[in-house]
Amino acid sequence: MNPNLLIKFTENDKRVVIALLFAIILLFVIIGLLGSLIIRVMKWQGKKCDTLVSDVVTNHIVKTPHQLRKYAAKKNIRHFIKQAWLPIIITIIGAATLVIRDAVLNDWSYNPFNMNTGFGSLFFVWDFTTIIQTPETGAGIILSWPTLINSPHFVTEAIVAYISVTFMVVGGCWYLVAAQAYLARTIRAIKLSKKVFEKSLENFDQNTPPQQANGPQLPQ
Amino acid sequence: MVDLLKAFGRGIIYVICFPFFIVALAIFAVIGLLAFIFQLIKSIIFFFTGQKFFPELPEDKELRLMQEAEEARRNPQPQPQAQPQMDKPAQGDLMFEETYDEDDFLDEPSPEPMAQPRAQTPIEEIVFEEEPAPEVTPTPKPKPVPQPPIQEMRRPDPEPSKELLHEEEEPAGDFLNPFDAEEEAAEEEELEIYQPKGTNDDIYQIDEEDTDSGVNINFDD
Repeated sequence: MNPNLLIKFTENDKRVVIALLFAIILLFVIIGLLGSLIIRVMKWQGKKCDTLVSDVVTNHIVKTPHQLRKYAAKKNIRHFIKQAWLPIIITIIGAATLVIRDAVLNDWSYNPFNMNTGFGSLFFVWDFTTIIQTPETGAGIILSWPTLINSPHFVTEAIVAYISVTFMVVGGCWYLVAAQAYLARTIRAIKLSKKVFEKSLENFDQNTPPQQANGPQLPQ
Repeated sequence: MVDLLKAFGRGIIYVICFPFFIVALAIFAVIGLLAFIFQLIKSIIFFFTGQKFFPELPEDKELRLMQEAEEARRNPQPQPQAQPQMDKPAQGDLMFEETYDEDDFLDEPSPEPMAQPRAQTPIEEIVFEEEPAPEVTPTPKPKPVPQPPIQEMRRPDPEPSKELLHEEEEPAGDFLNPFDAEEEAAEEEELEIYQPKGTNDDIYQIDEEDTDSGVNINFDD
């Protein structure tokens, strides 16, 4: 092996690499926990599908997995519409508020997220373009902290932006939750269509009499 | 430590699968939005045609018919319920016709039901039961019949009988002072003119001073 390709770490570099490794592991652990939480929520949302299709299944009205998937799709989309009409209306109200403001002031280039007269005035804003600078000598780089260019403050001209952006964000998130529930119910319906009509021969023995088998007991 | 490693492994899988999840979520969101718009248009048509917002699915209809058949099998001949007669209260019911003050109910305990079921009493008692005596209610006093003035009653009979003349008692003072007796008799005639107290003037307020506009009759409430 060519010794020139070997990376020579100093003691300080090793500490930095170990710290970075732990940070990456911690990041993936957090992502794994968040993913598990999302999956649990989706399983909980998917149980609604059981409620929607249970009567038809228990009364043997649907007899094939295809019928069950078709029926569950219809019920799921109807339930989604019932869940989603309110967030859609909230989002439409927010967008309409912004459009009316632009139409009244004839300012169609207005950005509702800007930090001067928009929703961004309520947040801290840093300038990350200046953290890496090259010195005049040209050798190496200079790292510096980002500079704070905005601190939260209330602007009267941005009231329309506050209202419209709030409505749109709330309605959008609510709608995404409803869409996630719709996705979860669809996955649950596919699983149910496979599981409900499944016939297992796990405990079946051809040689045992029917009376002793675990199958249905014949009347005496 | 094992759980931490499991979470770490899941984290790697989720990072890989996250873009697919986002794409699936976006597809379902778009499908849902299209379905919402489609349903909105359909609902407008349903509104004007008088149909339901979500028409009944064939499977739901079949389920409903099945449930109705099952219900009909359990209750083959539902007995029609007799309509309660409003004019005759049922036995044992209480009929409060009197009004009570709120303080009576607040201060005193609620009274026991007074009506007893008559089914326990023998039929003879019910059939031959003596009717209770009617309550003696104070009858209103008859209005005084307007009588002619005493002056008319004292009108002298054209043919007075002797007996009546003998029965009249003359005051003792007539013999002593006949002039005073005549004056007193004249005064009695003036004072004893009968005027009934209960006249219609109390009921009909007649304005005697207003003669130009006729008689104004106002009925009291």
